[in-house]
Amino acid sequence: MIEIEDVSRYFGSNAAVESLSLTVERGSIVTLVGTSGSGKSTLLRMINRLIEPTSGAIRIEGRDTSTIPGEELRRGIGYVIQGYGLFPHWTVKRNIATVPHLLKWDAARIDKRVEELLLLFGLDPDLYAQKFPHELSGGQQQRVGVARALAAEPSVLLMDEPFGALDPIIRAKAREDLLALQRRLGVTVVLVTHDMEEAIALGDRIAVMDRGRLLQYGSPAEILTRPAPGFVERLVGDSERPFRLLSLTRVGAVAEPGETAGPAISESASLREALSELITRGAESLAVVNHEGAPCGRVALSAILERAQLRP
Amino acid sequence: MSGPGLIARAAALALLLALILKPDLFKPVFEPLTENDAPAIYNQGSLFDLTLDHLALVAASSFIAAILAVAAGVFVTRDAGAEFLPLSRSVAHIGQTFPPVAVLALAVPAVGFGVKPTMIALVLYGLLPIFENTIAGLRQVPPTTLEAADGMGMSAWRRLLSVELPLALPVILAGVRVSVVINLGTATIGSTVAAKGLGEVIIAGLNTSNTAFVLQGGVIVALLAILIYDALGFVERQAARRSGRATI
Repeated sequence: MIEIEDVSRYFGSNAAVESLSLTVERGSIVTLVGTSGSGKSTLLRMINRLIEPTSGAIRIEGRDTSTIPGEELRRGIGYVIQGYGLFPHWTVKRNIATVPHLLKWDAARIDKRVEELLLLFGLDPDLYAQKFPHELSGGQQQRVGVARALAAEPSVLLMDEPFGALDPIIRAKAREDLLALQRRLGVTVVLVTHDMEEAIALGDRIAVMDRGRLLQYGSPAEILTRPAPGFVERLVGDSERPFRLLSLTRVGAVAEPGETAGPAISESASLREALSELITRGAESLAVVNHEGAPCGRVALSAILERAQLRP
Repeated sequence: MSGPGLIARAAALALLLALILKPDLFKPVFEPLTENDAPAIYNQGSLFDLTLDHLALVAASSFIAAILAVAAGVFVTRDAGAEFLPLSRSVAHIGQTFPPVAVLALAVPAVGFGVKPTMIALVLYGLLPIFENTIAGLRQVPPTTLEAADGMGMSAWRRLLSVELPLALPVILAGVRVSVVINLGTATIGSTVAAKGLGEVIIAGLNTSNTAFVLQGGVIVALLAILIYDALGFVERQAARRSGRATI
């Protein structure tokens, strides 16, 4: 759990972050979203004290971070940045081993951990361990960047626009991978993005920031259905809003008993996908199957449209 | 390394070794340049010993210059040293613009004749390329790499030693290479204040109007410079490859 309590940061007389309080539940993903200059990256960097707060307190698992030496604190927190910042003169293996090395793990333990992580990220250790960053594709570099951040098994992972340098197709896949990984490891993630779409896709909760202040903090559904007046409303209030709302709900949640002819849709698909399918086929309802392919009812267009209405 | 390049290098090395080990072989070449039956081949000492002295002088002065310049370059690129950048830069530039001969003239009264004043002149003369390249090399390390190093919890020292300097090394070495080659030539003036070196051959030639001596000394110094420049270039490319930029 990360508790941010009344934290401010001034650069000269300019407030980058102003008396901001926020609690990130253990094992959840919080996305910090805002335009550039909103203070979101400054807030992120105050968590691992790359930037020191001017006032206020930040506690991780109950420990006040200001009582821990900065370098020690950062070794215990995963950190991923846009462009990854892989060390170009080190192999993939050495890059991933950065923090374990700083923590003086023995060689055997480091070897084992690196191999474990490479497998976890779908990179064959025999092929990739000895490669240099410039020999990797963008998507592979991104994965190595995340693997490096997770090497010493931190309980908190900070990510600053981690997908910003990826092309859109790989980006969608990278987001899914991150979600799956986070569910599996249970790590607490704070992720900075300027993209509302990304914030909604990834966040258990979303913190919307503007000019150093926290405007709204809530679940994606809350942000979409009850945006705070002004900035947040403008941020989510475009024509995409009902579709974003639909993308939050799984087909399984609105399926009803009954049968419908034609190809079926998985219950784990989003309502947005189901709607798109219905429009394409010009149908009124779709058959639903579970993840084993067995039929488990139908989903009606009217039920989907009801969900798209902007109410809590 | 390509075939013709290898042959050219081997030929230059063979010529150099022949010139310093078997200078008499070149008597027919240098003879037409002499007048009044003056000797065609330098006869006041072993060319081989003079070459070693010359190299030792250049190596020692370049080493000292490299240590000072890299240390200064590192210091002025830290937050704490940033305000010393203009001052250090001025000192390095003065070192470069002040003629080595003038440095010798000023240093001799202070430290006497011999190797000492020559070392002072060469160190001062060699500082600038290494200093400027150290700064340039450290500044071209990508900011994301530095931020990652900090974010991983590296200390400032650790970051400098295991990230910044290795990544800046190819550029720093390029500065060392320029500095060494400049000093290979400049070291010849050391002989005017009795430092042992190949300058003796040239100065002996100038004093006796013996063009053969001048040319002999000059050719040896030139060959040394070419071969060392080339060898250091090879080291530099290896370093560049190791810093993960195979394309340089």
